[in-house]
Amino acid sequence: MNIVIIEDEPLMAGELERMVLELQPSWRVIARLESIKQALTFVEHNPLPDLFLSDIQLTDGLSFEFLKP
Amino acid sequence: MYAVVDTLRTAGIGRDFIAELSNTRLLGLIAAVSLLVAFFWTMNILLVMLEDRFPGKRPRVLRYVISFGLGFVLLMLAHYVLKDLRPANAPRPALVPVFAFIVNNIIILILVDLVIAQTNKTLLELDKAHLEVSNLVASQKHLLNQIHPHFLFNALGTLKILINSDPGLANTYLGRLSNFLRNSISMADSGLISVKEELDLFSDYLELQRVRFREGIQYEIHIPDDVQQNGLLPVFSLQTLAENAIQHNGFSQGEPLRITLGFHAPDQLEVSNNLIAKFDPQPSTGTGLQNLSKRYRLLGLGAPLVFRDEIHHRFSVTLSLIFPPAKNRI
Repeated sequence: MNIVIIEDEPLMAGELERMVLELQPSWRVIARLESIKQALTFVEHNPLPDLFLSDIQLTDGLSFEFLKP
Repeated sequence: MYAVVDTLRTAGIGRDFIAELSNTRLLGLIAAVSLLVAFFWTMNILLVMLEDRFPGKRPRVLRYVISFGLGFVLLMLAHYVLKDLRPANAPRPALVPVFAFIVNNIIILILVDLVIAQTNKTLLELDKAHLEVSNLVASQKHLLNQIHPHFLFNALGTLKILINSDPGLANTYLGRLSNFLRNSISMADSGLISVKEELDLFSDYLELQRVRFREGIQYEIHIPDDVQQNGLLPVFSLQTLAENAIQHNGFSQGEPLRITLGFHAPDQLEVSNNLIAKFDPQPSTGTGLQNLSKRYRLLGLGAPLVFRDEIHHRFSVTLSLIFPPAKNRI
């Protein structure tokens, strides 16, 4: 399972990754992104991951925005 | 003394019978009248003091009546005592002394009441000033107390994460946190603190935030040592501005917030940072800056100058430092 974490607070992102790997050591966090801008760039250049774990309120907007078609 | 009496005589002041008095008797008469007037004054002042002893509503008229009554008794007494001083052939003073007494007493009462009114006014003003000061102290405390709860909540959340993932860092973090809290508690009452002490609060605060945001927050301090030692500013000034910058900017590790502290001679400390647009469903109410301005006003200092440059994405606040005279320096 490939996971992308979107979280603007590095400490929280690290904690989230740690918890995921503790529960499922075989899963992989392939990217930690900080903003909607970074998330948009990521989905443009990479295949979609299996799962996004995302904070809702980011510094540049609500994370639902980049999920809109 | 006799010269005075002679002058009185030649000036023709006084009545015919004065001319027939011996100098000694005339002097005695003047002394007696002066003493009588002094008695009237003392009596009225004592009456006022007596009036103050009894609390509650006191009709002023009562004091006036007592004053005139007692005064009249005193006058009669004096009349009786002084009758030997008067030459036998002098006309009997009938209403003149009574009339003189009434005029005299009215003047005394007016003067005493004026003094009382003035004193009351001063006392009221003093009370008002006391109230204002305690009010200012209370609001000052209130403004300072607004700093803590939200900050503590975040700090404990951070600590919870660190305890699991990085016990060493958790240890350092807790040390810094307790350091920051101890300093802020001990300095919260001081009003003004040295730039050095405030810089300690400022950097402790930012280092705590850097544990959460890593390289997302960067800061530089360019303040000369002697300014740090000798300059004073209201406690939490810099910490408030740091908190404000973190609150209102959309920084990230890729686009960090950079806070710079600079000094402009003779006494200006500038706190500046880059502006990074932030999505915020609850736009700024400006409370932080307003509180800071209020506190500067309460301490009788000029308000901080806020400068927002949207074109160059720069925000700065300039604070006036206070340099006490050299002999008072710590």
